[in-house]
Parts: sequence; structure tokens; C-alpha cells
Amino acid sequence: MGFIVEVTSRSGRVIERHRINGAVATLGRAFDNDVIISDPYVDAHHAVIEATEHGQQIRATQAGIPIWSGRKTIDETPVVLASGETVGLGRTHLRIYALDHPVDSVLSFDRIEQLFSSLTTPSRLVLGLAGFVALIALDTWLRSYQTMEFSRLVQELISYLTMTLVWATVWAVIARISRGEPRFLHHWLVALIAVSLNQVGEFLLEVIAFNTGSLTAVQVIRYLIGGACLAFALTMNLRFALRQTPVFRHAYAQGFAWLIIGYSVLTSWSFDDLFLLYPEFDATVLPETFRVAPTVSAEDFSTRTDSLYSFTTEELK
Amino acid sequence: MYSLGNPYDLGQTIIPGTYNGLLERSFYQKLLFSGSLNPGMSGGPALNEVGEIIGVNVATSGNQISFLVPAKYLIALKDQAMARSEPLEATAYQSEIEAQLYADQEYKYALLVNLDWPTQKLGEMNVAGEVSAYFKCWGDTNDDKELLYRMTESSCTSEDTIYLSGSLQTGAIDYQYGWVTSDQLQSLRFHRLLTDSYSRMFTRNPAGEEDVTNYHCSTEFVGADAPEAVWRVVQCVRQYKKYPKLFDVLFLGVLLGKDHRSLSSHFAISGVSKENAQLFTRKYMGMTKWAS
Repeated sequence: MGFIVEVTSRSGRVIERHRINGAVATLGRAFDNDVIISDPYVDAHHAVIEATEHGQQIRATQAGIPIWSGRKTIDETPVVLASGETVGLGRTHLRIYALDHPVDSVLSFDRIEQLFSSLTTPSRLVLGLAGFVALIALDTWLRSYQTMEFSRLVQELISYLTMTLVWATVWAVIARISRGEPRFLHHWLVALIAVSLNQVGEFLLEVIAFNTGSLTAVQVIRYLIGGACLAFALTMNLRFALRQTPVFRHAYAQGFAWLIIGYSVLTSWSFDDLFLLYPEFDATVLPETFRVAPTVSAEDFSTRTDSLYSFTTEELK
Repeated sequence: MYSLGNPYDLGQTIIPGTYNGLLERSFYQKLLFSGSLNPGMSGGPALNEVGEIIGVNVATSGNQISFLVPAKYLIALKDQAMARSEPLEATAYQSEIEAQLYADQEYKYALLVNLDWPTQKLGEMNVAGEVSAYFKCWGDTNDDKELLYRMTESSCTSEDTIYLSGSLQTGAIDYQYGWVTSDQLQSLRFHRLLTDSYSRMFTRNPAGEEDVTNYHCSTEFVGADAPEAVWRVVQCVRQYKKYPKLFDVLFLGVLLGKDHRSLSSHFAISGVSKENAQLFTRKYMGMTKWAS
């Protein structure tokens, strides 16, 4: 015989948990109760819970101090509660469990969890953040041929840090509600890694653009890199925030990421037929050392560009 | 001189002005008339003091800088019209315009391609100078000490464009070179500068969707005559919808492989046949050589 009484917040977060070993427990503000509730809206001796063969039943100790259960009111007549059901005393929320109530299976503390836990120690996180700042500073510097302005760098850093902090905060709130632990630093690290990967991807993209000159290829690869970074971030955030099987986690993360990318691709394709006043070409120029594409002679260039003068009837309409 | 016309539909107006001779930089003769031509006066006559027609109002650049077509072209046109047994059918006008545009570019490009183009030194490169007297050329160097690079530009443009409609003005020939050096920019930053200067090129023809197709573009690496150097070349072409024998062509080249020194080379020609565009491209590419 026995049961569990949890005092929870409105959102269901456990504040206190009491294991009652006897068959009966009294609840109220008075210190002689089995579960003492510090709530001015709760009576000194407010309710009694009793374990019976039908389950835990609850009743008020006297008239005029009701117990809330959903939209119903429980008075001195005992009402049997389902295991895990929530009732309200004054402004306090209680959840009552049978001792044999099943609990969630254990969460795996795998290599990724261990890796992120080790990376989010304060000293390593500061180191990682310094690396991120260095990466953004290098990127900002390389993308400019003017004298580097400190204010511009600060502006870039603020925008990236704000973006990653907002992302991490949203996931931390979701995690706090879902699993009771926000793991803000885990989510922030995920965002920082995703942004860094995207920055590195953008540079690789420039090398491809420089060599191929193909706007279509560059656009497709840009979407692939963006999609991969988003899918990575979502998979990791879901892992740290929600209780899910790996199959569902991957399905949600990949599905959502590629849905967004698919939408972007379709939107950009729908503009393909638009008339443009100016030519669309890739102007990326990198040092010769990044060139892997072969060179052609001036004569071959003339032959290769011959096809540029062929337009379809559809284009001429 | 007196120019007659109907400016802004205000009624017959007589505009006095001064004859300032023939334009020097023009494939076809044009009279420079220092008087105020305004919209609505095109096609009207310009008379001398004894009342003889000496030209036809055609264009203005504002501030009393106006242009007239000499009367000899009017006489030729009249003779051509009189020689016809029947007037031109309304449906045949488009093909007639195309034939005239085609003939015009044949005349200009035959002249240009067969000329020996003078060269000029720009940085460490030899590039095309003022190809003929029909071009106006100028140069520019940035001397802003704040900048981390130095750019010297040489630009040439033909003065002759043919006005077909508000959006379709064809016949322009422009070419431009930019020599860029920097001893302060790291290699990637130097090439970022080239990317930005390279991406701002376009043709001078503001044609709309009803006039031209979208551009077709191709990018290639073309071998350069300088050791360890290579050109990254983009060529873009679009076709005229009403005059399908004619194209607008854009060429952009940037020299790679010479540390912290580069030349960007660009030409834009409009209303040109495929054959003439290819001849011009070959000639243009052959003109740019390493000087030292």
C-alpha cells in the first residue's frame, strides 16, 4: 500500500515529490499533515487521500473547501483518481501516482551526449566561442577590400550571436517544458556549430562557383549546404530537448529542414522564367590556386560560345 | 539657322540657333546645332537664313546641344522612295527596319574589324586604345589614399546609338579596361575586389521583355599569353525578338595568376550579327597582351 504525491507547477513541472508508505495521507497547511502545502488558499486540514483496491481516492475534509479536478469539484464524497491524474487544492496543483505507475524508459547517454557535455564546460565553451568569433572576424575581413572597421565587425558578431542565442533560448524553453532540463549551453553550441559549418560551406561554394561559373549548380549546392546545416541543428536540438526515438527525431528534423529547402528551391525555380534587364552570371573571382577547371584556347572559346547565339522559339516569343 | 517643329505639341515653333559643323566622332555625319530642340520636333526641318533646308531635327543632349541629320540623307531617302513602284506595305516595315539595322552593323563592324587597332599600355598590359575616330575615350585613376588598392581605368564608347523606341536603343559599342594593383590587400581580399568590379557590367541597351530575350551566359578559363596567367571570361548573349538576326553581346574577362595585379576587360556591343560579334570578340581578345 502507498502512493506518490507530486506538487507541480501549472505547466506540470515537479516542485516536490512525496512517497506515502501508509494507506492514508492528509494534506493541508498544518504541520501535522503528511503533505504540508504552503498555500494560503489551502485549508489547515484540506484533503485526505486513501489508497484502496480501486485506486487512490481523494476527498475534502469538510464542506466549503473544495478540491478541483478538471472542471469538476470534489467535496467530502471520495472520488477515485486515475494514476497520474492532477487535482487542485487552492492554487496548488497535485499529481497522484500509484506506486506501480510505469515510468519512461531510461534515456541513453551516448557518445554525442558525452561529447556535448564535455564541450559545454565553461572553459571549453569560452574557447569555442573565441574560435567562433575568430571565424566570423576572419570571414568579415576576407569579404572586404576596404579598411576593416571595428564597428562593422562588432555589428556582424552581434547579429550572429543574437541569432544563435535566440535559437538556443527557444530550444531551451522547449526542453525545460518537455524534459525539465533546459540545457541551454548544449543548444547554443549546436547553433554555433551549425552557423560555422554554413560559413565554411559558403567558402566551398565560392570555390565551386569560381570553377564552374554555373549559377544553377551554385544555387542547388547552396540549398544542399543550408539544408544539411539546418537538419544537423534540428536533429541535435530535438535530441537534447524532446523524448523521441531516433527514427522520429530524424524524421522530424530532416523532414522540416528539407521541406523549407524544397519550398525555397520551388520558389526560386518559379522565378526562372522572369525577364531580366541584366545578364545573370557568377562573378566569383578567387586566386588562381583555387582553379581546378581546365583552360581553353581563344579559338576553343569562340567555338564553345557559339551555342550562346541559339535561342528557342519559346524564348523568342 | 532656324529649326522648325512642334515641341511638346505646343504648336508650330521656330527655334533660332548656330551651326557648329559636323560631329567628328560619328559613323554617320551629323550637324551640331546650338539651339534648343525639344521632344516633338524630331523630323522637322532646319533652314538656313535664305530658307533652304539644310537638315532634319533628330536629337538633343540638352543645354542647346542638338543634332541634325544633313539634308543629303533626306534627298537620298526621297530618291529611294521615289524609285519604288509601290509604297512599302505596312507589314513589311519590320523586315525593312531589320534589313537597315543589319546593313548598318555590317558597315560599322567591317570598318572596325579591318582596322589596325592601336594599343596603349595600361599597367603591365597592352590593351586596345582608341580604335577609331568614331570613339570617345577617357581614363580615370582612383587617388583616394584611404583605399587599399589602386585602379586605373580606360574606357571608350561610340557616340552612335540608334533610337528605335523608348526602351530599345541599339548600335552602341563600349569597351573598358581596369588595371588593379594592391600591395596591402591579402590575396583573397584582392580577388574580392575583382569580384565586385567584375559583377557590375551590363550593356547600354535598356531593352525590355517585348524587345529581347533573356541573356545566355557562359564562363570559361582561357589561356593568356602571359606566363602563369589565365583569363576567367564570361560571355553573355541575348537576341532581338523583332529583329532576330541581331544580338546584344557582353564580354567580361579578368586576368588571374599575377599576384596582386590584375586587368579586368569588358566590352558591350548591341544590335550586332552573330558573325560580326564573333569577329569582334576574337579581335578584341587578341589585342590584350602582357607588356613586360
